[in-house]
Amino acid sequence: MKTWVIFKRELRGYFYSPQAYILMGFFILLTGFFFSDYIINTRYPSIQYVMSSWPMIFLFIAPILTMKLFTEERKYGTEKLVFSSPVSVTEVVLGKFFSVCVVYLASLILTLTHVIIVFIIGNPDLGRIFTAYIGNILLGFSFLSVGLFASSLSENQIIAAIISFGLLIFFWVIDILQDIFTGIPHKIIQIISLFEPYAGFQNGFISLSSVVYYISFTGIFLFLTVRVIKSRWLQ
Amino acid sequence: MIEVSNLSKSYGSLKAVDNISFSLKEGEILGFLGPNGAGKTTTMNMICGLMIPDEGEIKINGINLLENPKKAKRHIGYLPEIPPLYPDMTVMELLSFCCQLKDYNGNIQEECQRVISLCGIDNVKTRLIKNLSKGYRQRTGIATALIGNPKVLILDEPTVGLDPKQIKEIRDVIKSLSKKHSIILSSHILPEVNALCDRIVIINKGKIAAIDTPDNLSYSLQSSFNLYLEIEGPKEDVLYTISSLNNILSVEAVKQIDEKIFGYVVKGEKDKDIRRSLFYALADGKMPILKLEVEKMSLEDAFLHITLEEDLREGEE
Repeated sequence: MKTWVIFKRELRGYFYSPQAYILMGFFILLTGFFFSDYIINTRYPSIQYVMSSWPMIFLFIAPILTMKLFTEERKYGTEKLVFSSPVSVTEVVLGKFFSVCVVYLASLILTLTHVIIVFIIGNPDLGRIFTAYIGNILLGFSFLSVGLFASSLSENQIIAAIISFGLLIFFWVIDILQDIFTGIPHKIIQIISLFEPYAGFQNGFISLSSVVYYISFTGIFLFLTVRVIKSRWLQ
Repeated sequence: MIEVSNLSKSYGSLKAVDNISFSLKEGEILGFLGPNGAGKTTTMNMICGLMIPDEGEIKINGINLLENPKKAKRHIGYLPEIPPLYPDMTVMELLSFCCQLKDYNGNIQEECQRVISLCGIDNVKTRLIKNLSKGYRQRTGIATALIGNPKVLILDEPTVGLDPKQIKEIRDVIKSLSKKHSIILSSHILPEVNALCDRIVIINKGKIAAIDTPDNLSYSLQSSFNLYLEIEGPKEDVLYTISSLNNILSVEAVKQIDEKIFGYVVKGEKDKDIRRSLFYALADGKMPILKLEVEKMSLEDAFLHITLEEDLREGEE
């Protein structure tokens, strides 16, 4: 399976450059800051409330993490090497997506230190922490699929990052604005809202509809990425 | 090896490639020649399966590229104009990545080493590509195309931006490859095409303007048999002697070399060798020939002739 070949190369690219380490360090620094701030102020050893701030932090990191995925390929002309080989576009898109997912998962693994601390000083609800992690993983993957899509649109990394940041901010803003509307617009926003299903995971629920929602959202953006690449090349 | 028939491709209203057909035989080097924007790279991209033609058919080693792209692509090694290299990888890592990408079944290490020796990049194989010089990058690019020993190599301007020594080295590499591979080579450096290619396709405005061997191309376009001579003796006598011979179209003194020595351009009729009659006539008149050169129409002239003629014809239409 060529996805594996692409995946290995991309992952290598992340960890052989300082980029992944800097972004992971930034993520753990900010989550650590919010975590310690919460514990010190409330004197209450809990983590799941702090975890609701993680998507906001990752919203800034995801565009930077994904911006190079297709832009660099275009800049160095290596997409010609890849697509003149017996490889399908879907395999390439999946390989790249999985590699960036691993970088994100690695950042989340680092946050387990917070969980360990909470366990040492208190008696937290393991189930709620678990579901909050699932929610973060699914929401994070959705962000990354948006970033991957944006990187297929431009050959300039900065522009790609701005596009994906803009899209993510859009999804965030409509989530905030949904209460302004009533009736059908409110319903529509509720349906497409990226953050609405996240609240359930936060409160210890895993609902099938939320899982399906995030997987579909990610799938749609991966599909759009494949379409963009195909329209540029294989047409 | 490659059969291309009635290939067309448009970008919006611009017809980049217009009904092109040609074939590549086994062990042949086919040169793609044409002005910038003639459709060379578009044609190559289509043969490599990077672009899908609007019309036409491409067969690689008997496999239809459009129906069975994955299988057909296994027989192709492509070097685009800018060598496709990941700067953060070493040469060895890149080549082993290519092996996996191209479904190479044998021993990957051995295959990489084979290609490395072939391209002469042994001494840089553990270096990061971003630290390589332009010449080595180009060689590494050729190496990526060679991975998996594909039957067909498609090289898009392989010597662009190299210094004369590197150009010679790359040409030698290409020449040596033609024993085992069929090669399509695009270039706008005419001497290069002339030196390397068995046959030439001249593309202009998306159409094939001519397709033949380099010698035939220049010969068929020549309208006369041209000589340059340096002769010692009075100018008037020489001009009179030459112009009184048979099959002479024109004679002209073009430069003075010494007090008594002049350079002349003599045009004879095509397919008639006038050198012998010239020699005897001038010897009889005691006017020694100090230098004689047969002037061939260079490929450059042929190329300009063909492309300009096409442009003129289109202008008339």
